[in-house]
Amino acid sequence: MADALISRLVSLRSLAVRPTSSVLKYVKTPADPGHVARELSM
Amino acid sequence: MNSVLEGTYQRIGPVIRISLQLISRDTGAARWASRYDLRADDMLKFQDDLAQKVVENLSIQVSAAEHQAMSGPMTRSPEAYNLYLQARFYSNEYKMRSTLGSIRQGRQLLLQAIAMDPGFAEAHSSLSESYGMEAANFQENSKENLALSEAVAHEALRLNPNLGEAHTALCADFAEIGRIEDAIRCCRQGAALTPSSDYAYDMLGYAYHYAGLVELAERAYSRSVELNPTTPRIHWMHGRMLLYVSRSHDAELEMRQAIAASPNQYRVAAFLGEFLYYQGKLDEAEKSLTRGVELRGHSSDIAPLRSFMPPAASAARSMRACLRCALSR
Repeated sequence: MADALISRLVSLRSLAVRPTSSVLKYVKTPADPGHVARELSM
Repeated sequence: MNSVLEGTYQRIGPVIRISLQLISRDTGAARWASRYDLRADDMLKFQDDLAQKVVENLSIQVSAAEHQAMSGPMTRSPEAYNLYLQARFYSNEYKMRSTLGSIRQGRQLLLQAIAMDPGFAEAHSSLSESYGMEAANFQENSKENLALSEAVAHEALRLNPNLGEAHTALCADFAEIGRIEDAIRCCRQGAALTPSSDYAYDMLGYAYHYAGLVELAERAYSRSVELNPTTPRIHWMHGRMLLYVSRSHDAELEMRQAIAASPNQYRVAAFLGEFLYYQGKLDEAEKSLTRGVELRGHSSDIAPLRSFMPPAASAARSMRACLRCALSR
């Protein structure tokens, strides 16, 4: 689901989307969204 | 404006319950939240609708062409789409772990998806990338895989000339055979059409690097890291360029940063060994290369021999054997 959405949004110029490979680890170890944002330098 | 989309799903009999919230990074507050109960047949359309909802809730300006690219169905076959998504999992896995098995498992799924829907451009593009990745990183049948990659990329572009991933796949093929001007042209197109693709910028950096355009390569590699701070691959791609421009110490630092983030990635350890070797740090190089070999295990998923070895020197003979062992078949 996440990857399907990312593959849809990756073409938008005004939006920077982090790729699926960067969020795979949160599937196994869920994290606070703020922590995820910081870890992915958003 | 920075946000994280968080979601969970739960199967309840034939129903898939999906809960989503779009969370502001700065405040931690939900910009939007919703719950959906779907059946398997609804999924294809739901994913398109969801992309639209995210765009609306972030108040993003979207051009007509972008809207069309985002909302048009990739395929009308839910089965083909499901196979494609499974294949993308293996593609992502390959980008993190560099295992040949990931490429080949994904490819089988893509071939099945294309058999179900021969007009599925995105599946062709991913298939091209799969053949290209194998050709570039694994010696066996590399010529045939490269030819297949190029042919399938052209088919993807025939089906959809605005498919950024297909332009990037073609760029990788051209870069591999030394058609650098064509590679740069295709990579620029790929990056323009998929501006959030770290892989598009990764390949653009690679093409610039081989054209000798080091500053442009640096910018492209930096953009790739910005887009995906977790990828190990970009570090050895960038590190290799640093090595070739006589910045072997910087290459070493780059790989030390990568190994801190990905301590069990065999190619990271092997490339660190390579960069240490070129600085004459033979003991450290040997340790790192040995670690790479250990991490690689007994798998046949081994990258091809790279032509980085210097002219023979008797003192380096054992190191060469070690390098071959770490990075070659």
